Amino acid sequence: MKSQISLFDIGVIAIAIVIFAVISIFLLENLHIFTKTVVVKVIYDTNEAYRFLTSLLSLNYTSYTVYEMISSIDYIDDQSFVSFLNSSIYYYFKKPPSCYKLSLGSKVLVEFNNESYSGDCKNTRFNAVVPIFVPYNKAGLVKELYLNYER
Amino acid sequence: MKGIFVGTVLLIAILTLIISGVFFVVLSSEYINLKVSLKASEVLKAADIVEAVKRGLEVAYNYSFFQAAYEVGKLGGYNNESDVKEWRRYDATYFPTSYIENIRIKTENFIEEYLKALEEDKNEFKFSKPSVNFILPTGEGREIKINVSFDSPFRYSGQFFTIYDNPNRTLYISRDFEYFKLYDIAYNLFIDKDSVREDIEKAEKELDDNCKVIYLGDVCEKDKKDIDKVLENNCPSADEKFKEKVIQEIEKPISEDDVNINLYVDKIEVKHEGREIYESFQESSDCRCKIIDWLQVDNGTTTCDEYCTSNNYEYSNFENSQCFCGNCKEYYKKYYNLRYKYSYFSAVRVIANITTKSQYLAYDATEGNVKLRNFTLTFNLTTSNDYSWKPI
Repeated sequence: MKSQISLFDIGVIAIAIVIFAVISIFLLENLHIFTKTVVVKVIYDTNEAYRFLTSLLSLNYTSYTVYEMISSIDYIDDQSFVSFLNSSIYYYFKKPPSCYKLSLGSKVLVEFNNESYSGDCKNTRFNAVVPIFVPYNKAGLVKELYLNYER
Repeated sequence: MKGIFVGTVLLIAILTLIISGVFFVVLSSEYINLKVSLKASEVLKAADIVEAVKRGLEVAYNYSFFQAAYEVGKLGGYNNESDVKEWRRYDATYFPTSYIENIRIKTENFIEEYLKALEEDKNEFKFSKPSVNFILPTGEGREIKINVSFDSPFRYSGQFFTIYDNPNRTLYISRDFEYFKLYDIAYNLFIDKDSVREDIEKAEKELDDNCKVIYLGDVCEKDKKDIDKVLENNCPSADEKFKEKVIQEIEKPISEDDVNINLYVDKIEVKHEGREIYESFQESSDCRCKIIDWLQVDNGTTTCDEYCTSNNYEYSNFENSQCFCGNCKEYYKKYYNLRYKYSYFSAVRVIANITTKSQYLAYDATEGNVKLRNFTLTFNLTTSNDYSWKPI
């Protein structure tokens, strides 16, 4: 019976397996690294706006923090603070963004739209929302601060 | 040839199995990775929200303190309208010694309101009951320390994780914060001394001289005029004049240190009391005769009057066909250097508003809005320049 696998066949299979295994290890490793990078980038992107917003709130403006200024912005008209806020957001980006919008509740504090951007900068890829304590009143003590931007 | 064919088929089958196996393992592993990553992302996002809230806690505590200070000031240092008392009722004083405790209680309530609002807005947050303590400066200390503490850390409950963090904070309020000066100045002006009483006394001093002393010279007792009528002739509507002076003096705005003091007269009562002053009071022949010593005489054919005059009598009287002559036995007395002196009294109920010159953000329930406001210490007091007279 010549139906048994010949020595040649075994040799071919063995060499193929070895070559495949070597290539696979490298391929898989690369694929793994690639997907890991993608995932890390996704995590980074989904949290970037939050990190940005939190650090923005910690900035100091004159003798106040940006948090204090934003929380009382309905009652204190300070145009230079709005300019400060605008430049702080704009220069955060390495290159000019497509758009950004910072709003407290329904009130837009600062807004920027690149000429090429046609949207309203609302449902952006980068977005964050945090609660802000506002001066004591009977209407509500906490408002939402929204940051939306598109790179 | 057949062997090579079988071998190739086997090789393809084995490779297919290995490739599918590898892909299955790789894909499922990446799927797990992705899920883990998304969960990690949730945790990171929550950490940033918690960070923003932590940053805001001190701001909320500050707002609570300032609102409490504003409201307690409006109630004259008291917590509720039902507790409000006049700071002075003539010689009795009622300084709200517990005003710092009242601010503390209100601050605690407002902080609780803030945290409840956050919990309602973001259900993930849970705070325990806050406790506020004021540590007043001692000796050279210039800062009031406000400790806000909780029994336990606040909690942020995510879907599969919980973040705990410390909500305790210490606020530092400078003793130079004008608000506390309101109480210090008010204490000095209206409790330690009675500056409104001093204003009334000053108003009396500033009244025209002819309303205070009226010189009448030497006056026979029979000619002496009513003390109030003399006042009315020399100084018409004296009480009204005094009332105007008192109001003017009390309502004169004062600016002291870093505060403005405004008093408003809510109710006023005035009166005057007159008294006579003279050097001596004695019988004088310049005045009319008070008692005549009559003597019945026979005037014959002459008239009674002629008879009495020719016989050196001062007075004659013909009555019932009989003639009487007489001399003065006692003259009316005379006041020498008579003066009428008037004292004025006023009792007032005053509304005191002592305000900071600087403005702070506060909500006013009456106006229903938030804006930069001068903080005001408002209270009532009743006093007079004679504590025994209490018409109000």
